Amino acid sequence: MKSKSAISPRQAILEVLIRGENYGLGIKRAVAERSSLSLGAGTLYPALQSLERQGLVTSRLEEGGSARGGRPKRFYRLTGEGQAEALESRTEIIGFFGGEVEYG
Amino acid sequence: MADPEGPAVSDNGVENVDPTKLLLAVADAAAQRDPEDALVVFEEQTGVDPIAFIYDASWAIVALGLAVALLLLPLILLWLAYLMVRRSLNLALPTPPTMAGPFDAVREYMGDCMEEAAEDCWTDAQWRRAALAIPGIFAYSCVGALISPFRRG
Repeated sequence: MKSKSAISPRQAILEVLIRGENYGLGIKRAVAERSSLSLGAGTLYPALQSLERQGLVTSRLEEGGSARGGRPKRFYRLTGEGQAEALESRTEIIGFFGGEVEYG
Repeated sequence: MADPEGPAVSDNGVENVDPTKLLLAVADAAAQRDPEDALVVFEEQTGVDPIAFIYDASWAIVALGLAVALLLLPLILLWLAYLMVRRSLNLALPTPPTMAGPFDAVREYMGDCMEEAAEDCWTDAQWRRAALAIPGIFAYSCVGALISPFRRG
């Protein structure tokens, strides 16, 4: 079921990453599955870089397969600070919708 | 001469190149650290003389270059001023920004595009839209790299 999507791209990314490590395309798809929010490249990748600079996520590079033409895949993971921020963001969202939001 | 209804280039064979291949070649060339390597990579992947391509597409490249320069120039000046102040105060100079990040960001994005395109059978129009995001992602990463020493204090 798709939830209401009055959430910011940043909140959506944190919400996906709180479920575990993921990469750019995976995050984009997970957000699209759970909400009506469509993250464009110009939003998603700068947001991930911004979160990394703020110390909320860390990333690691993995070798890309032939489907990616050998280009690396960057996986993002929440830091402890990022998890706290994600949980706080989730509380705010649920509070805003009076507990009606359904995730996952 | 450029065809106003078609691609930016027309009389050097570029119009015969698959747009997907052309975009990937541009991205791969942009990811090379050495300009000579960039030219070789582009020609190998497209069979098109990169100089002729650049000449025909010069209007777009000049516009893009000006936009990036206007965006980055204040930051570069700020960075130089910061270095001068630190030097004049005899403070330890900060680590200079690394420019590997922006190139890696473009490669990461293009990899995701290729993976998505393979699974969802992208059209040429989708590829063109995807390519439009490359300068933005590159410029954003450049800004991030340039301001990172200030963030570290």
